[in-house]
Amino acid sequence: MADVPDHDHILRLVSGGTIDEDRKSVNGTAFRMRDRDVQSGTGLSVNWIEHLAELTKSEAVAEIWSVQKRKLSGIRARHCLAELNVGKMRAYVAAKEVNRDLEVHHHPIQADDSKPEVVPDSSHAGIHGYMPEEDIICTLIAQAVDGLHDQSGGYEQFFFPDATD
Amino acid sequence: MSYSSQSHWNSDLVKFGSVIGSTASGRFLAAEVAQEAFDRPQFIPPSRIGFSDHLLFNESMNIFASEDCEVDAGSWLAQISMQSSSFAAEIARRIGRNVITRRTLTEQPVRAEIDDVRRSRVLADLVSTGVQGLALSNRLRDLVEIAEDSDEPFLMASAENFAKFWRRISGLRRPSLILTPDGTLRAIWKKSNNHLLELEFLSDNRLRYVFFGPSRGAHVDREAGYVDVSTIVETRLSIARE
Repeated sequence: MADVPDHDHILRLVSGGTIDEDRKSVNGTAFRMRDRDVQSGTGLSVNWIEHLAELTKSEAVAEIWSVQKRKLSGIRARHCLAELNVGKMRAYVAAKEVNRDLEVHHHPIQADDSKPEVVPDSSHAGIHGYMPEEDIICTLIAQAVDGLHDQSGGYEQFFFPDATD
Repeated sequence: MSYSSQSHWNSDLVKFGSVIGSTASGRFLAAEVAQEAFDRPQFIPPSRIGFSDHLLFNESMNIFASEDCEVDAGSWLAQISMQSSSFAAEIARRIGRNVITRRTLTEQPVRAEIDDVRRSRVLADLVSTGVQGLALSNRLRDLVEIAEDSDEPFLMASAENFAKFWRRISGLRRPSLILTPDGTLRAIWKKSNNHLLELEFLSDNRLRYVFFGPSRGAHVDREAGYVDVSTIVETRLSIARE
């Protein structure tokens, strides 16, 4: 279980309802940890962009969209992938909530012949270090989102606050 | 009146009353509602469209009689509420009560129909509070559409609790509304990343909240938890009033 390095980036699938009307922020509830995430030990499900090293960034994002659509039938046009820089997210949360050390670990999902419903997902990773009821952490993670990728290849950059905001 | 405005008005009428659906009994109830609308002297159709009460009534009858009637009371009420908000709320409540009462007597109500009734009531409750309520109802409609489109949950009880809250507590700025992955509504008042209030309306009348606010010096208070709707403290709501 390797750590995803601080300079790398992760994507979290977020539903359209959790994106603000002005599309300039994602709500923290999109990062709410589930009991099953804790019990499975895989943390909050994300994808590690740089793991797909043979692809350009836009190709990697497209590949992650493709995997998500194979996993989940309910993905529609208003779903987005929220991008976070691992180091920035960890530093932001640690600065606001002292001693809170989030970690991002790689949890690749392999094909399993005995379970054809399992969709292989080599870049799958998980955010660790908080619990389902910790809405403050969810809100801080959401504030650290860099921007949103839509399914047509578009990207909307967010304003990232400095430490004094 | 131009053709386009008439067409626009007809389109709104076609949307009238999603609570009713396309059943025969539903059309009968819609006719009753339209009759009530016609009978009420204070009813004023949108002047910018220019239909008289009589024409409105006749047009409603034609549309409700059609077999492919697809209606949405919320949209229609949102339109007329700009002229007569209290009437819009009353008619929505009456639609809901009639449908549920009559269906209980004859057959089990279809869940989707009840949800439509409840949704229309919530939308009407919001628009009856004024311009901000109208904007909130539009956003709510958008969130319902997102949920339906993605087969994601939308808890009507949460929306009802939000509407009650919005009607009960006056003087609040319009919050941003989002739909959580659990299907609950969350209202957000945000001045900055360090000064915000988020209230999530749970089905059981509790609020799940997040509060970030200034404290002494440069310190920022951060709280999260659950509280009963009736006991949300005024100090926390101050951000929603500023």
